[in-house]
Amino acid sequence: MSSSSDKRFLPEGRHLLMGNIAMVEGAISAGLTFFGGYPITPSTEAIEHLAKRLPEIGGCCMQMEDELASINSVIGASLVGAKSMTATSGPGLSLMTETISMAANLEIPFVFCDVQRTGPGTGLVTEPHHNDLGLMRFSGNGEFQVIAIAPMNCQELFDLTITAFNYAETYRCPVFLMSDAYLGHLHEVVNIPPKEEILKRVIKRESPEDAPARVFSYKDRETGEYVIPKPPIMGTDYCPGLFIHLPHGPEGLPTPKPMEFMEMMIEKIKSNIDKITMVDKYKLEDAEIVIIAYGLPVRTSYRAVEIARQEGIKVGLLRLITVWPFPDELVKEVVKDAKAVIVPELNYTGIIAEQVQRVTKLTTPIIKIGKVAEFHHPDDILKVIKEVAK
Amino acid sequence: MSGIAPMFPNEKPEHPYLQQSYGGKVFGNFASLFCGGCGYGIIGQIFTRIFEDEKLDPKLHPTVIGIGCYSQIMLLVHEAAQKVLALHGRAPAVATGMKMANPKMKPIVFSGDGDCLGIGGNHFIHICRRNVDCLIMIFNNSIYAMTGGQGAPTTLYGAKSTTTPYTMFENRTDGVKLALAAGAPYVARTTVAHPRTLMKYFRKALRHKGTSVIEIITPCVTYFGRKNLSNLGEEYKGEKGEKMDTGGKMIDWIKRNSVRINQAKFMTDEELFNKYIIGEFRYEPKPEYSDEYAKIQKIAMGGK
Amino acid sequence: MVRYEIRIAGFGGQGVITLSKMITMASAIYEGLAATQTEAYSASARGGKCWAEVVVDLDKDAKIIDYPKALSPYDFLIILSAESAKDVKKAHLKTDENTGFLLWDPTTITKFGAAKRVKSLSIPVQKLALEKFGNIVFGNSILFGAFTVLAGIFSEESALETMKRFVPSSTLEANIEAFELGKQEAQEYLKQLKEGGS
Repeated sequence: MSSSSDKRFLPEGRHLLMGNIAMVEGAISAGLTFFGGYPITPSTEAIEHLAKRLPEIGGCCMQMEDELASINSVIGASLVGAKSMTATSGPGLSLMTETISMAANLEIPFVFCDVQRTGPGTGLVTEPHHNDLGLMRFSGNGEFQVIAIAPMNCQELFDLTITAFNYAETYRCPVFLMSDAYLGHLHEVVNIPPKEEILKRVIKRESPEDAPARVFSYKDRETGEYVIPKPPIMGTDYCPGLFIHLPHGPEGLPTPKPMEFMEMMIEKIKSNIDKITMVDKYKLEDAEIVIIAYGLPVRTSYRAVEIARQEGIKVGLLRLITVWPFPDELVKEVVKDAKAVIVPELNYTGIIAEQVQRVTKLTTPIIKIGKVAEFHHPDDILKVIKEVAK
Repeated sequence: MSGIAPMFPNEKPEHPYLQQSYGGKVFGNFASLFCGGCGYGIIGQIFTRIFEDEKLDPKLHPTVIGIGCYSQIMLLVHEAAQKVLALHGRAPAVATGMKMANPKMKPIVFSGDGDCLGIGGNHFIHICRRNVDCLIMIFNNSIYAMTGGQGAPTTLYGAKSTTTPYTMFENRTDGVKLALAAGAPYVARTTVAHPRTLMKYFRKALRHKGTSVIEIITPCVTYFGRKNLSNLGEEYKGEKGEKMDTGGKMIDWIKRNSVRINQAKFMTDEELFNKYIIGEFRYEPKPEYSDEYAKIQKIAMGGK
Repeated sequence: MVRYEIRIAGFGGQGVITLSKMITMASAIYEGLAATQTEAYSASARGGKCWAEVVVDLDKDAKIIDYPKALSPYDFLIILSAESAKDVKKAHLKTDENTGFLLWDPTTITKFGAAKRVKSLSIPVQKLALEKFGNIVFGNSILFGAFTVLAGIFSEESALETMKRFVPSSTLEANIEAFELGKQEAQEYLKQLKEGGS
């Protein structure tokens, strides 16, 4: 088995990797052993690469008959204790939502890589479009919270995939990795850390020594805090007799108080928002104009801020690495004294812009810069910054 | 009066498998939520009995249950079994994931006719094609009973349901033929009116490595029997039918409407129209998916 | 930030994507520069229109390419098919010294109007590769050799290390020969350019 565990990690150092491949290598480093997928442009490189890589380390990569089967096999594998994920694009996500809501109910951890493409419908298959966040955050029926993470380059596709797996293990909710068609096909250098360092970061899937009866999250009546036990594993003693996706209590049996269950579904994530939220604050200290961005537009926003600063315009950037749950308090604090907020997004609607509007209660002017199937040049953002600064 | 057993004994003997059933353990009785005359009780009880008698390891036999009336069977089946309720039609896909993530397991899938032959038809075809080691039981009551008696892909020609008020005119799906065409190595069909045969097939399927499909014809009195006459089926058209409003009448009809596979060989298609052919259709062991995948893993690891 | 924009266009199967990856690897892995490569192709994976873009930041301290698409005017254009040649205009290339090169293949392109008005070098790579090495795949190494000299964004050692990663070891020697051929062509062209210019 020594050979297979060696193969789990790429050799330490600089590698030229495609975005999709950096993403799945990150997943393998995080301990991925089961992948169920269905080919869909622009995520196909993920399943192709895993079909080669997973058997090498004793894992399993399955090309299922459709997206519904993919996500259900991922759920099945996760139930028996395998770290599992799927990768797809917008149309695949649309098909998988039912199962995502079921997994959320049963608190089955898994990672969902969404390589977003231009929609709606088939759309433009090789062009980026950050249009899936609306679907992700309310994916499926019922009330639950998801976590969505947006990387901006291949290095982060590697690093944040590991983080995504850790989030899935810790918070036991669907975790989305928001890649896109452009990022997925981009070749960039990825610095692979030594394997000891990666192993230190990874949270393992193990059942606790003395299995507690409470296997699902619950609110501790004394402290008022939400306790999220480790995910149960079928085929071990740490498993309820019944996994049933009704509103259930911590033991897994149906609860007569569905309201309490819903509260738990939402609050177990919201009460941990400080731990979940990852942001980058760039030159925000004295900023009069604030740019809020995630994913690819962040790259160009950094440059726009730099150029504008050289010209003496006080502008800063709030980069959302965790896009969902939306960090209300943090954004409120950042935009408190801002003259205006600019939100460059790879969509027309401005999904995050709407959230900023909600948080600021429309007191601050918000300028959306939408782009579809192409992305912002630094000049596009700079132009708006200059107009606002006038 | 001494020496004569009382007609109505005060103490009923305890059911031999009561303590093993999930409901029995939790509630102290067979908390069946099924209507009178339903066949699922028989199936649940048989499952518990075999689980107990064969001393199946619950850790190696996760039970995946689809969506339908039979989802409540989880109260009747063995309490030690680790059960998971899958989404409507997706149980075979969940079982595939389980098997491949832990190849020691042999999942047992409970699914209905709407589940496996309707919404989940694709997953059913492909689990049979891959030959993933698991046992799939299709409970065929030829109706969507949980939602209130709508027509199913398996509803017999001429039968009435709430969505086919003027009688069913669509062709029906044959789960066995589908499984055979998809390549399942063990395929059988039986009815709840033949519990001994069912137990035999069940045991055989457990010992067989590969996808085993057992279709079980089961009565639904409430939504199928009450609305249809016992002369349903081409051959009995001439007879005077009566409403099949009790379990007994439905079991009787199922028995009459089933033809053994050996007999069926000598019957024409017209004679077999609307009939259930029962028996074992195929038993040919063939390479199992997780075994084959293990070979791939070996090649990938450079072991050859 | 000193962006170096490269665009390679041709049809699928010519090695457009491979060449772009080689350039990216030489600059990113062996020179330690920030670089991105993107590719695009039409529905026909073989024979259809295909192009790849590489952006290299010549600034050693740059961590990330902010805008990963190559922008016109380019620093370097490699055109390998008549169809892509049609779209090339003089304005697509930079006019500064030591940059703004066009490299093209007269085997596949019979008429290339724009080539006369810019710094262009034509090497019949496909013909040469077939004649000298017996297989057109060696054309890639010829082009890579010419690119290494003309662009000068990475050293020859980096280029050779990259070759080792991309070509099978059995044909490495022949590929290095091809690389040298491209190098010579480019060196001669640079000499001419210098003489012509002065």
